[in-house]
Amino acid sequence: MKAMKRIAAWMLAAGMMLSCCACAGSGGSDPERPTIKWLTTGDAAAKPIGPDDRIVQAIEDKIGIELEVIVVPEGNVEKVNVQMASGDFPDIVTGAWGTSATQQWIDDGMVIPLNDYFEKNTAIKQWCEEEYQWTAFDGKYYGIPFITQYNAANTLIILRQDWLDKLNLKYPETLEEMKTVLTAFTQQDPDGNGKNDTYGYTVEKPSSSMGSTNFEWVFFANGLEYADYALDENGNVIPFFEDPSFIPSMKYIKDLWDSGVIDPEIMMNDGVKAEEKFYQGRAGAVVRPLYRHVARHENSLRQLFPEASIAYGRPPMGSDGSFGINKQGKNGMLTCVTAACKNPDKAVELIDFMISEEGCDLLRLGIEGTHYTRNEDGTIHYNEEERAKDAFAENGWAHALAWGSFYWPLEAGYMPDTEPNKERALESVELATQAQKPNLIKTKTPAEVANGKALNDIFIQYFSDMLQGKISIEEGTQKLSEKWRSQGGETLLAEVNEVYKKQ
Amino acid sequence: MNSNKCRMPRRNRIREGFASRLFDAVNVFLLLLLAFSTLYPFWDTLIVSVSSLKSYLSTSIHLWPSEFSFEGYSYVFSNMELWSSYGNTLFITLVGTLINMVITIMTAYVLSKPMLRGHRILNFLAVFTMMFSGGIIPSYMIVKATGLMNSLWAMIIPTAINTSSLIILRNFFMDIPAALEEAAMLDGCNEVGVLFRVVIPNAKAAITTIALMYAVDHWNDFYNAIMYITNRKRWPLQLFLRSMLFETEAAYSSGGQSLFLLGQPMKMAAVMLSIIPIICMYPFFQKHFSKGMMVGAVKG
Repeated sequence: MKAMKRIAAWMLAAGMMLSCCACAGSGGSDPERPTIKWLTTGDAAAKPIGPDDRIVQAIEDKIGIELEVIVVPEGNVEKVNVQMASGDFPDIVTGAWGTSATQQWIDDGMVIPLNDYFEKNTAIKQWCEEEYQWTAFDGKYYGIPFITQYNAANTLIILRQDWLDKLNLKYPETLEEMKTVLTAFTQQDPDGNGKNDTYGYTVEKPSSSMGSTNFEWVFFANGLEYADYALDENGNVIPFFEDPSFIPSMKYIKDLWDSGVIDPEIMMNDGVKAEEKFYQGRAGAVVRPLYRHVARHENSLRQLFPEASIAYGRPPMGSDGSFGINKQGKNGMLTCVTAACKNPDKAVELIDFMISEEGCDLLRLGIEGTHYTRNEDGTIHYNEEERAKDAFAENGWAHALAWGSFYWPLEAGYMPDTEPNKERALESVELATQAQKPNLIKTKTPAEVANGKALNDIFIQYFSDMLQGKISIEEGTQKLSEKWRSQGGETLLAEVNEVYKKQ
Repeated sequence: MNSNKCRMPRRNRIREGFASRLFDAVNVFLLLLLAFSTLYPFWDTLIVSVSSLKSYLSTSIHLWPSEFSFEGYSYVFSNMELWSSYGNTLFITLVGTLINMVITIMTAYVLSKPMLRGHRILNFLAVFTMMFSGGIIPSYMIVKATGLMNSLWAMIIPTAINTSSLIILRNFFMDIPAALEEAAMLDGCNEVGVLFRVVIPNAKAAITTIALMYAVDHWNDFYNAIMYITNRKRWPLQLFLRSMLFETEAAYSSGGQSLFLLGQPMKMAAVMLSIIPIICMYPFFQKHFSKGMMVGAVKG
């Protein structure tokens, strides 16, 4: 009994001690200034924002608020949705655009329209009415939308420049030239080791959320005009695999597959694995994002091949001069002011400031004289010591609040002067953006949200079967159409056609 | 037993037929293959975590690094948040498991008494939660209403009892002969005394097994942290490491640091840090673990 009492006493004492450690009080706030709570998925890779962060203080002073930013771990949208659904409302909320959850916020009146605030907040007005007019519901804007890769892209086909040089080839400009290059990469021993151990092309496995195969450059070169759907001769919206460009494209891809040019594991590779095969010299071409990653790809490649370099360029053209590789984005974020917000004026003003030029400068560069100085030639000198005290990322990159909710640097066309390979990085964005195809339907319809992935999986299954020769391309395409339409595709098309006609 | 005694002259041994030896050989081969395929991923992770990027890229099968590098470890170790997250996870695992065990044992003991009035209803209520759950939104509301938000207790209290563990333990308790308990009662023990002096010592194997299961659950839990904990100082280890490894838009875009982009050795160093402590626990629990399985098997 004695032993038991002793155990119980220890347990209680430990419990009390630990509960003191585990709970900590929250700081007080200035009664003059209203507190604005902002729940956002934000920038999950950024540094944490400390309690004395001078950028947050500068924003607070500017707007006259106490700002509390809650960045959700891992950018987990589910957490945002759960918090909203359980009635625990922040003042400002950033959630995923084009999902049933955000639609419900609007339908249930959980977030307020911003039109009434346009007069005083010109940056918001401009944002909504110039770029995102189509996001209004009955003329009302319920939030600041931000679609990722809406007007900018960064993915291209990356080739081994040293292999091209060795084989006396140049970056291919047409589909035929691309086939020649990839075949040469496979068959002409570009690494010179005397073994037949290289593939021309490797990519990440198809994505069911995007419905993409990483062979988009073939479809676009053969004349596919839009990123999401196609139009038939009567102007009706049809799935892209019913477009005349599909069969010749599949034949081209199948030719590459049959001649052993394509990495046989493309249905299994994740992005990192595909990159690795490129860095290991097992494949001579890979489709990956560039921009910030130009230097990373090249450095990784040079680990094993110190003389190697990468080449990228406009994706190959088809016979009529069409080309493309990137699809315009449909996903993104939506930042709203909730109906529970007691100071909507201040909340809207905060958003307006964040997307205004002044706000952007503050978040990207910091406070002049403290975090940076301007050199005489107009370039920026970053004071890394001071920046490290606040939540700035290293090497001239921006503050934790800069990215995620309204922009990524790619969309903002931003790159600090300190970035190695800045010019090549920006060049890659320019090329990739030229090769970006627009969407026919800008929004995601409810059926697309609910059923899109399952339908994409049908496409991917047939794509794989056609590639491996389990079914002929003509027959496969027809069966794919039938199955896709019968398993929810018809409903989706009806919805999409309606939206298209309204547009 | 002295193994020499077993040794017989070769001619006296029963000669194993070729088929029997082949069977053994195939068995040994298959089991070795199974052991290898189980152990290799751990080995690979360990070796990659101490390899340089160059050494990692130079081969697809990593048996030994051609060039050592501890860059991944030093990168993760240099982040002060690692240490606070380790502390948080230790707290959650130790205190959480303790609370789990106290509540599970007490509840299981009560439910193991068929003569208790309302015993059926209590059992039904416990089992009901296995089949029907309120879902995440009601759970969130309860955590919010009870003021557990942003506290480590949010990762302990809502998961204080796991019904399947409870049922396993209850069944185990029910198998302990009632005569033992009666004898203790006759000697002057009360119910609490019976629980601590008779039932728990007799169910050590099951209790250790369940404690280990609870501990591993706590150690690996990150989902509750995503839901309930936004203050980074209270993040558990798994969430801290996941946030560094996770392939997010931010990892590609923002200019912030992400292990994910620094190459596989960095990632694997983080993975090793998250699994080493819990792997180290297994040898201590192993004997109870296998015993627990055996006892269950014979009785079942």
